[in-house]
Amino acid sequence: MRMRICGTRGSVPTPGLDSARYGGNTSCVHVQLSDGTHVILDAGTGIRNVNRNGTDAPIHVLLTHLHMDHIQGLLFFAPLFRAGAEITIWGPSAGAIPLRNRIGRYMSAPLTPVEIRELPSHLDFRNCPIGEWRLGSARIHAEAVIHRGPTLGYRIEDADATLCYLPDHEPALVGPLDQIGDEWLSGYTLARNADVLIHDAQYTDEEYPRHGGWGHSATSHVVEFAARCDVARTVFFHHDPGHTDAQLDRVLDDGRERWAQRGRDPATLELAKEETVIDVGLPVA
Amino acid sequence: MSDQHPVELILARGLATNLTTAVFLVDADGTLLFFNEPAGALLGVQFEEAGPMAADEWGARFAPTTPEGDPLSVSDLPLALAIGGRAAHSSMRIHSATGEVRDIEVTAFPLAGRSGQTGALAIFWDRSS
Repeated sequence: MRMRICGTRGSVPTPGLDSARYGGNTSCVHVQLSDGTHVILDAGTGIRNVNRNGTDAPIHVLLTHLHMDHIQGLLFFAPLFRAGAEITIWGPSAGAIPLRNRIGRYMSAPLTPVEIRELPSHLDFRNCPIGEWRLGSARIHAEAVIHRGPTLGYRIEDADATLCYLPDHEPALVGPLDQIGDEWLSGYTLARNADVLIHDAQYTDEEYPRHGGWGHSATSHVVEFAARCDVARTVFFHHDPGHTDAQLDRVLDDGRERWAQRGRDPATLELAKEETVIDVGLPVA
Repeated sequence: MSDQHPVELILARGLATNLTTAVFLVDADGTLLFFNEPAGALLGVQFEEAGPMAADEWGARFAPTTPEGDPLSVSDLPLALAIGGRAAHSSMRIHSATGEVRDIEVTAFPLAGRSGQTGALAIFWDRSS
């Protein structure tokens, strides 16, 4: 299983010289399974960087939730405009309103010039099953996690490698993580023993008190969560749009120092950076 | 991998922890998962001391009766009805762990998430206070 980070940013695209190194596109990770199936995690503006060379293989887009930074790139995803392309969009259910209708609030007038029904591709919208299900060569496990609104986290197991994707997650909302048992820790089942954990790290510990309840995590939360779940490699994700590359370097330093204090190898904690490719399950180079 | 509770129970516990209303939380099997400090004050024991327990155990431990003193079985309790999928309310009398008799009101309702019903929650209060 190979993953490529296409968008790293949370909340809003952040183009500019100050964000060029880690990237300014919003959340998107392209995963190619061992059988060649394409899985795209979220459809932020980074999805424009997926499949530049085109592909005829079916594409599965797994949305964690429908906040704008996770769907904004959909209308700019080239395969949607290619006749014959088969695309399935999976997302969290929310009462009686079908996923297609909820996404259609964005992909419709007056917000966009194109309606979903006008797209020439074969586009299917499905409520993501909770629990375990199969997709290509992978076993997918989806569970609701703590964020604002219906939000899923994903665990993808494929050929002895495990990737966990929790881009928007605030497990500390219910209390200090070091005082919460594993059974009360949101996301624990999804992340436990993962080879790679991609996790929300939007805030520094200094910033978090002003943003508690907004659905995101601080540096120390991610370190605590990753250690509790005993993951092999942790990727800080969903960078705050207000953080420059230089500030993100300091976030990484802080995270690695905390990680090392737990006896972990600092090299196994990193910041998401656009165009980074990771072969999930292989040791850090 | 089934040792983590569904997120709606995690959030319910987080809410209960921050309330001054007494709250009692069970899973879909009726197993007691948590009660908060105000509930502990009424029951005469804090959750940290009591710990999780099966429905039969907590149903009997506080010896619930009608306000007139007739015994109530576990299946008659509002939480049992809520586990069955519907909200319920009743007045009852319990015996706290410290031996005090309390007349309480209980309202219970099912907790259903996207994967179905995952538990039930009861709020209760002391009628004599």
